[in-house]
Amino acid sequence: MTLRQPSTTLLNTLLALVSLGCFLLSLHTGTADVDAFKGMRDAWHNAVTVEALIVSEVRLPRALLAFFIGGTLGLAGAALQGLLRNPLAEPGIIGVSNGAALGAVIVFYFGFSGLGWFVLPLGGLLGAALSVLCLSLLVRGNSNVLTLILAGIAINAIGSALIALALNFAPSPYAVQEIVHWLLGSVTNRSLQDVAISLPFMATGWLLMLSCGRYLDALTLGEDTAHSLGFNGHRLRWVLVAGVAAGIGAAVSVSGNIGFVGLVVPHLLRPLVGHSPRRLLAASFWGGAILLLVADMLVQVLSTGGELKLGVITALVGGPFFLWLILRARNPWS
Amino acid sequence: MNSRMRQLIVVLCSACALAAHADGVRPQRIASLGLCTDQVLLMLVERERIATVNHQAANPAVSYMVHAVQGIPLNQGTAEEIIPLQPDLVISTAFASPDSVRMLRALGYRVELMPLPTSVAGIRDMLLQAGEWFGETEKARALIARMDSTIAEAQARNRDKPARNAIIYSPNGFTIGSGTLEHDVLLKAGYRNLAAEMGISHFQQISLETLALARPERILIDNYAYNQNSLAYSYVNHPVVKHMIPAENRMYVPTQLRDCAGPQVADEIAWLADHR
Repeated sequence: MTLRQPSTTLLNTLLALVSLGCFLLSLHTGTADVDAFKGMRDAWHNAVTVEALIVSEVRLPRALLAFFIGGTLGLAGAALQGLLRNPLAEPGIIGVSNGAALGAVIVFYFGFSGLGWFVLPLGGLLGAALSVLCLSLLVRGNSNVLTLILAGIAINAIGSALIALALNFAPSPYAVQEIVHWLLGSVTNRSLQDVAISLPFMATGWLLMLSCGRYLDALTLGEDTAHSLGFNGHRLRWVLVAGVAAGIGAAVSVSGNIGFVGLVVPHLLRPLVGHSPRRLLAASFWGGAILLLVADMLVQVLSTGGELKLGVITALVGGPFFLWLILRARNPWS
Repeated sequence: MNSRMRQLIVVLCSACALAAHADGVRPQRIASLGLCTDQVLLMLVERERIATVNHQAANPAVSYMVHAVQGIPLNQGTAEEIIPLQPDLVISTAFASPDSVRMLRALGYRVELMPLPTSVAGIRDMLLQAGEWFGETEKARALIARMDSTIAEAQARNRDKPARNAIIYSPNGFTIGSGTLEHDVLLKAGYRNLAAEMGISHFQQISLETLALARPERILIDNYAYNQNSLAYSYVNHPVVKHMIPAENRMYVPTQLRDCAGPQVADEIAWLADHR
């Protein structure tokens, strides 16, 4: 091959800078027409002005969450695609996100979140872990693309049905309408406290997933080869599953299930990292953050009155793009 | 049987017929399909003439008349529950169980729809209308007089307090502007309704950012299901609301006083004026 692969350091730096730019831009995006720079200055000097309140209490948590959750979704998508060696593996498609949402719904609506700050993300984690475990049992020793996707669809459907069931039994009269949040996702009206409770779990998830990069590279040659290269596949598989569960569990417990990010981002970036699952991990983190920050800004710009949910934008933007990717891959002349 | 006896019987029978006729005007088995009509019915009519009220009337979280419901059969607003009771008058509103209303009318039952007042004056008209249907015009007039005096007393007792800028912020971020009963209630309790001044009429969802920009002095929050976790309350419980408005100026209005139009609105006005 004569084409030299661009350095991933350069790519990652570029992506990180763009995501940082999107982050700053999203601090300027909102329904109120206020001077965000004044808000930042006032917040920095601890002056309680309306601008400072809007920027630091409304926009900052929202932008931080879009950044972290987008990153988690992108990274988890890349990790699952590497682990399952299946390009369709994505937390939303294979039911992990709905499992996490179910765990969070049970904790949130039935009063368990009063037991401690960590209970909500922990509920999400357990739900995500449970659905990953079910999936691994179902597809054990069967790397057939179809088996995985069909099992994932079933788990997904069971998850969303159980979410609806739980919301029906929830004591709050508002619960049933809020199924939209859990199935389509949103970071509206989140506070810094939501960032604080979810970040430790998400960060743990990132570290666990990133630590398995070399194993994922080896896995492209098959499980036996990876084993002969000295990787303890049994242990590393668990590390990855734990990482996905912690990251997705915490992310979804705050934002609900936002689809498509984990599918589109790794596909988009894979050619740029020379098809290495390891290099794809970090790049997908930044890519996911960019996608979700842009989606969240679009949600706010497009909405009048009631806000669109994030999953609507990610699917509307991601869906056609993904179709185009598929069509282009099937067309030998392009 | 002599002629006198016969005469007496005739007189008695016609008296019965007259009484029966009078009772035809004054319904004896009234059924109500929704909370808002339940409450007016319970206030105006003795329990013996009430065939059934909606189950919400017995729910202390939303009903102002829980104390009067005991012993009265409850319904869920379906026609199937109403028909066996053979009511001679069914009352509802345009929004409560419209399908049941259509079916009951088709089956020949007398169904009256109570108006949905958008002002205190509208409540007076509604009560007079209901009093006429129930044959309780005097009671309706007395209720209106009591309502008016409650409002006048509350206004007099709080005359010296300054007018406050207030905004209604309900779960899910809904605020209420001009053209509504809530707007009239706010003005009568001595507040300025910031939502109306922002150009909002009726109901509209506003973001936390818009709320912060309005700089309200008081925020009125519906306390319905306040103690149960839901995302709907992520609007009113957001830190920005807590930073902006100190706890004593966040007013949790009892739902029973404000979920329906009726004489209880006078108590809401008094409550709001006293907390101004």
